[in-house]
Amino acid sequence: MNPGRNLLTISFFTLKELIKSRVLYNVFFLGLFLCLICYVSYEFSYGVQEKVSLDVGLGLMTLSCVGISIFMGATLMTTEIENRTLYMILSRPVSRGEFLVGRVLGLILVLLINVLIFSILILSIYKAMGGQIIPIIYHQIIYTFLESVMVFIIVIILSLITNTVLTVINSIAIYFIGHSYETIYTISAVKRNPDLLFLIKSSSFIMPDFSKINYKPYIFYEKFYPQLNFSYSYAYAMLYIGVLILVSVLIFNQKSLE
Amino acid sequence: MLFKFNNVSKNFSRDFWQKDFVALENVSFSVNQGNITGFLGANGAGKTTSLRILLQLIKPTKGSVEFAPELGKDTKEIFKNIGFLPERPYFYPSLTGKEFLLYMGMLSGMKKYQILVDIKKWSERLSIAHAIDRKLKTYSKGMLQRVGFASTCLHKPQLLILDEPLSGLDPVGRKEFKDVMIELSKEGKTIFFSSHIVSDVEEICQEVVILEKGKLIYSGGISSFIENNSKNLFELKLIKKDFIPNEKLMRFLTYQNDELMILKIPSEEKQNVLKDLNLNLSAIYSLVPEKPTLEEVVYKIRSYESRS
Repeated sequence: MNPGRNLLTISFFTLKELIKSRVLYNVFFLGLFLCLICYVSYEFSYGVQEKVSLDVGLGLMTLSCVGISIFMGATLMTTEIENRTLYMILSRPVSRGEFLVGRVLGLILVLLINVLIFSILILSIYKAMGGQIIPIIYHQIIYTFLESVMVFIIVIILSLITNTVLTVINSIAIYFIGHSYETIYTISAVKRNPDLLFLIKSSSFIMPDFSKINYKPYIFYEKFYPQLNFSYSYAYAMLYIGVLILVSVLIFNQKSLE
Repeated sequence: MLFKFNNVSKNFSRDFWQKDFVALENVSFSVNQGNITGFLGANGAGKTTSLRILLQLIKPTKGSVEFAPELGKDTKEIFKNIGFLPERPYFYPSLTGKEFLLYMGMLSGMKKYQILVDIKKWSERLSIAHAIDRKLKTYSKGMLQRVGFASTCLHKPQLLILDEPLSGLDPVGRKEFKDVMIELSKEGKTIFFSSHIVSDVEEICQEVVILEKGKLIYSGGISSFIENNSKNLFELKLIKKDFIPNEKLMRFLTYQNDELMILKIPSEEKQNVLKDLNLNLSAIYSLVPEKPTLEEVVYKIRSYESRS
């Protein structure tokens, strides 16, 4: 039995199941909201309407992707265990690792579709309002996708070791911590205390540091940005995702499916 | 032998100040190829725990499960030859019956065209062909059970493991499932199914494994189990109006109504009783050896076990 075929089969049917469960309806409602905001901003933000539309658009895309990651991710594996659906699958020639990675890939595909639809919508509105599409916007869209994947894998790990409510609460907390590192380093109380600084820096090896893949400030406020940082950001996100998937497979392999 | 439990024990840890809960204690039995074997036990006897250990969903605290080389060399090959139906299966509600069966077939390594042919065959055989393109969330409990059973049989496994397959089915559905199990057995498949309904097991199984509070009570042939655990009695029915009262016989009386008297006679007393009835043979309505059902024997043993 080909493990690649198992992965593709599980991810394909997970994608099918999730799309049929109308998860992508959020794109329609958030897209409608984006159009409304753009219309309102056109009246109130003279001269920078296109930047407002892009800012709101990227923000809504992040909200939508992280929302799917947390709320769909928290139940992706637990419902399988609680409803005993995975017994039917694991009693076939499918390893636990294949099953978990297949399910994860399925939801990542949903996130990808979500990002693609949003990107087309955001960029169309931005262009229609006279905005100029520069490469960093494309990079930021990819980073938004990678950020939601990072959050999603954290959610999966938490859901394997705790319950759904705690998973959601802890994931939201980790998401905010991940976005706070850059600000924390600028606080003078932290700067003055080397032990505290060391502790915070050490924690960033475990916690995600989303500031490393956030280029929004460069898009909206600064003209120049360091080119080389892009590859570093991609490498950081991919490595983080890879390690987390490995950890989640190790946990799931040891989990007693009672 | 197709698979074998070797001294399997399973403890579940509770809170740290409480003792572990012993779900299974030194359970050893084997299941023979080509047979339908019933797995009996009251609720909480350890049947589902045993099945989860068998399918490697949980690890035993002690002991091991051994599969015959006929099933395969490694875990993947073995599991390709196993079909499992869990108790009260709940499937992906947004998928249709056909999509779900296609999913299960593909995971079992089948080719797509073969799966579609087999979906048609099994959906017709299990009377769900009319609903196969509907979403699973619109299915009744019995229909979900049928889809689950179809997915278990789809890849033609050598060994079918069914956890309470007959629960949630109407009488017609129960009959259909039992007929399919018998057919599969005739084709050489081995079926191991758990149930707490003894009569179902007695009806279709050749062998039985009985658990009580995590301990093995019996494993082997059903008829020898009944023979070994039943007293050699004869049931004598007498017509009341023709019967001339006889004090010697009254000690065997177990039941009477307006028309009949029922006596249970040990086989060694049979001749003496007939002698006593010598002048009153017209009172005999019937005299047959008593054959208890599996249910009666199991109930008797359970009562004995719980007393001891």
